[in-house]
Amino acid sequence: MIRLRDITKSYGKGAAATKVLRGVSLDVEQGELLALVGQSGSGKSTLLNIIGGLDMPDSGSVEVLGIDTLKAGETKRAHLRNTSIGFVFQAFNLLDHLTVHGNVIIPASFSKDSKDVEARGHDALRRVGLSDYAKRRPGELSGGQKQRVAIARALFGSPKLLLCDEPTGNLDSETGKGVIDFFRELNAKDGVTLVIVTHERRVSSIAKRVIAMRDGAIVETSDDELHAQAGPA
Amino acid sequence: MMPFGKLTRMVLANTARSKRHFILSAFGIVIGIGAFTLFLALTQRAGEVLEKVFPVEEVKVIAPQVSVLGKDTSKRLDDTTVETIRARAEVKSAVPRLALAFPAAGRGSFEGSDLKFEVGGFADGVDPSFVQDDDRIKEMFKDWDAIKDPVHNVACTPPPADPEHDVIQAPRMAPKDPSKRVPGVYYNDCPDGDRYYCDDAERICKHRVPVVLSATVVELYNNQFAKTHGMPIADTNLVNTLIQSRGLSAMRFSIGLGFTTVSGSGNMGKAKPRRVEAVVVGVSRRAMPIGVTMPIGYLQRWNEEFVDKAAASSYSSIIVTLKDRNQIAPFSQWLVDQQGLRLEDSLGERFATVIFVIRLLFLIISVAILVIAVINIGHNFFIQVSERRREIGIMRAVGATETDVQLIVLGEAALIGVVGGLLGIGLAMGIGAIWNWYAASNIPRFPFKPTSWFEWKTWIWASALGFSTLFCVLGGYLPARRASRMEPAQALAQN
Repeated sequence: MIRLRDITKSYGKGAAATKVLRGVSLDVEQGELLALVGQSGSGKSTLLNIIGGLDMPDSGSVEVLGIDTLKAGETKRAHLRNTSIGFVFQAFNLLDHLTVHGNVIIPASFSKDSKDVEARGHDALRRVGLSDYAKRRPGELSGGQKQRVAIARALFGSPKLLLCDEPTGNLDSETGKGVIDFFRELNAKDGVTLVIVTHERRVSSIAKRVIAMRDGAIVETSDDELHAQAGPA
Repeated sequence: MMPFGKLTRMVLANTARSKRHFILSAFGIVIGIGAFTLFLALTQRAGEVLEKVFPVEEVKVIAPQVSVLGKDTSKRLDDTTVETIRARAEVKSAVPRLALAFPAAGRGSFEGSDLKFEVGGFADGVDPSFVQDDDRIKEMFKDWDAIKDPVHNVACTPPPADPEHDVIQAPRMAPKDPSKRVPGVYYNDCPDGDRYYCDDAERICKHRVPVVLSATVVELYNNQFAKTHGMPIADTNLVNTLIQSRGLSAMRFSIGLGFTTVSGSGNMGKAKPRRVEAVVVGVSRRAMPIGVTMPIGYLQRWNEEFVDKAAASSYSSIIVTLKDRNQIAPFSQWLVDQQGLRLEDSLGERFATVIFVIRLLFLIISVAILVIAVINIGHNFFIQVSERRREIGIMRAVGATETDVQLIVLGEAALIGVVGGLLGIGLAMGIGAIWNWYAASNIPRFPFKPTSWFEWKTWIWASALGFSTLFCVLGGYLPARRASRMEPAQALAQN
């Protein structure tokens, strides 16, 4: 499903350049639930963005769902994000001027497929338990509810791959647990492949595989070290 | 690329939630397009008035005046000259004008006043097909004497001559009720008396000579003659108004061929003076500016009768219409070099140049306002794109392409252009209406004063709307480009 080879990425130029990724190679199989753990600045989020085509590496190769995203071109990458990849961010990233339902169906604005958009939007909201909140604005929701709207938006296009960047980072433990359970169920029942960037051990604990990153590279670590890097449970 | 319907909905929704931004961006465009539309409509109107006074697409060929020992030796403009000019590739048509070559005096009645005026020197003739301004002119501006009409050309008794040998007024029609005839008064008994009169010389009923006036004559009457003689002011549609209210006979008058109102005139013509009747059938842009114009056949016969055969075929000028106005210069050069003729200096050309310069100046002012508005729009959109970084990042994350983002921003700019353009046109029309209302009662009458100072042509609206949209899209281009090139990951990092 995902095949990364020798990915490097720097920010800035010349002497001020900061190397964020240093030759990362990674394979993720279909149906996996993978956790990427590591300290802040270790390159986890950058790697996730490169997988999702939101950022481009300086070198290396990226293959996602059988598509070489570096060679594919911007339009094809956008189509891939629209149809096959869902994103969930720590900051929710909802559009405040739209209703909850409007946020969920926003991917349809960039798709030629206009079939059952309204119904699919309501269905996605039902799956995250927010059917009654369709007409509300994001500003009227709690943090947990906002994240569930973001998840509903990510699920709107029935993606094969869900990329989550610190999805529980802004949630209290109870709400976070609900989100984690939802991800586990999504992976188990629907076979959606999940790559979750996280600091939290409770998130990494549900992963089938945990990858640790340090200073822009994947490091070999023991399970205890992995859990220590993932932080407190 | 996102579907057009979805793009439109998103553009409308984005614009609706950014009212302040919309107003700030559209303000300059409304003012700029308002000025652009108003200036164009004003100069268009001025151009049309000018066109009415001086048909600028036509040139007038004349022979330079040359005299030797007081004798006119100017080159003759005859049928050969006309044919030579017509043979030129750049010439679309050439129509000769023939001036009345001997004295003649007119006499008519208008609003109860007895008007006497000189016709000799103020009359010419053209081919009737050249004068086609309206349906009445098309129907009546003909050489009626060249048409056999046994129904109307019946024998009659002409009115008695004036004992003082003056030109008499055109007699009135006989009343329909014979008992209302005043004994001893002469009445015109010809059939269709509003158009036919009894000719003094031939003693048969003939159609009155149809003549057309220029708008300049009507304006001169209104602004000079009517004021000094205490006569009523008539609008530029004078002839129509009078004919509709009182019939054609209201516009009849006598022409004394071989008569004059100028004392001490020498050559009165070789023929015996006689009287014909004429009728004004309309106002034509083809009429001579100061005087009357009639079908050329009358002038040819009269000139031959009162002067000689040569006078019947020596034209006063030739009106030439060129296929392309840009060919005036080479045509003029050919006239001078090859034919010994020249073009008459055209006031119309000069006025057209002045109006062109004024229009250019106005357009420069409008474009300057629009350029400032575009800079303002660009500035506003840069701010907005910066404020909407995260939103753009989200759109990219859910599948928007760079082109989609660019089209959304450009669409919002275009919408400002369309709405701003429409408001600008509305503003211009509002100001125009207020000005027309103010000018109607507060600006003194002057020649060719228009009832509306603005000509709202469709092309003006279309170009205003087009320019408005184009300028706004130009203003939004750089911000749209910046928005589309934003790295989605970095845009999303903004919180």
